[in-house]
Amino acid sequence: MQYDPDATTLQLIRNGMTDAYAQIVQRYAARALSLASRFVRDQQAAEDVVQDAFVRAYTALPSFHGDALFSTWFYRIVYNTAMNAVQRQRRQPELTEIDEDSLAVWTDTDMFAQLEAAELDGLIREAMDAIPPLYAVVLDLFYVQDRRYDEIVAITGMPLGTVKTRLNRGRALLRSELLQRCPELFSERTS
Amino acid sequence: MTHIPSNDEHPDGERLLRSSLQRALLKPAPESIARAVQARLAALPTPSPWLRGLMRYGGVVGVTVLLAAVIMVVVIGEPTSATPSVAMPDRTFTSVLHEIALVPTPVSATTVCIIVFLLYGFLSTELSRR
Repeated sequence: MQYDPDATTLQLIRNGMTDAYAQIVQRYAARALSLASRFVRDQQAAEDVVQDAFVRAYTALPSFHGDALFSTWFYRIVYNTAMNAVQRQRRQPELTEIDEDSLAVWTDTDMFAQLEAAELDGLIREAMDAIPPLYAVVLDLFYVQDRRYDEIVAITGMPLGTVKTRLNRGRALLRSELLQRCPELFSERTS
Repeated sequence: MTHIPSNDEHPDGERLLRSSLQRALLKPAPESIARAVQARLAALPTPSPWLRGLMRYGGVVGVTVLLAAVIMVVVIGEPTSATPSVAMPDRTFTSVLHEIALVPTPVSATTVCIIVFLLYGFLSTELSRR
């Protein structure tokens, strides 16, 4: 079985040292906020989702038996909490059809090198916000949270094929959004 | 059609995409989240020690209650009549309960077992919800 880096902290909490949960919050707050933001664009609403997820995880901790990594289990709670928040807002995740030819997409290293880091960060955030949640969340889990395919399947409940398709489409959408915001990159690359 | 290479052919691009996304999207979470979570956890109702014990060992307690009831029925005996006379010389499980006023009228021991068990199930379910 895979070693869980949170096992020691969880044992402390189970032994009654509930203050140790602050370490879990500290460890996962930024990552959970990134994931929640893929669903809920409003910063305050995303923070509320993260708070709810931490409280739900704490109360459900007795039912966590270590069958998966704690982080995978927790991300599933964040994912479900964010989905519920979206449904409460009656905002269903949008599905955007894209050109199938653009499914295979690569990341041009020059494209990133041409931009200052701060400028690129801003562009990436804007582009990620513009991508429909169904794709953005898979991109976030794969790249930002460093999750493997099987873990994304466990977190989202999507079939493996769907995860791979959405990851590819997500990359294509991200590239498309970045190029829309910075068309000179595309013209320079193709010239 | 122009061949567009995939990221599998460009591991450098994949690594760059990962690091760029992490740098752009992983910002320190506001301290307000940790404080709010701490406050909400502190506001959660804390079950009393005896209740925590019951919730933890509820299964064992339930089986023990059931076994004790069955053993009492076996040892003391089931009444031959559903309405035994108080003057009946043989003391039975239910007549004992009746004497010590735990049940208002003499009932079958099996009925008592079922009622006790259902009552326990209801109580443990209700308590575990808190």
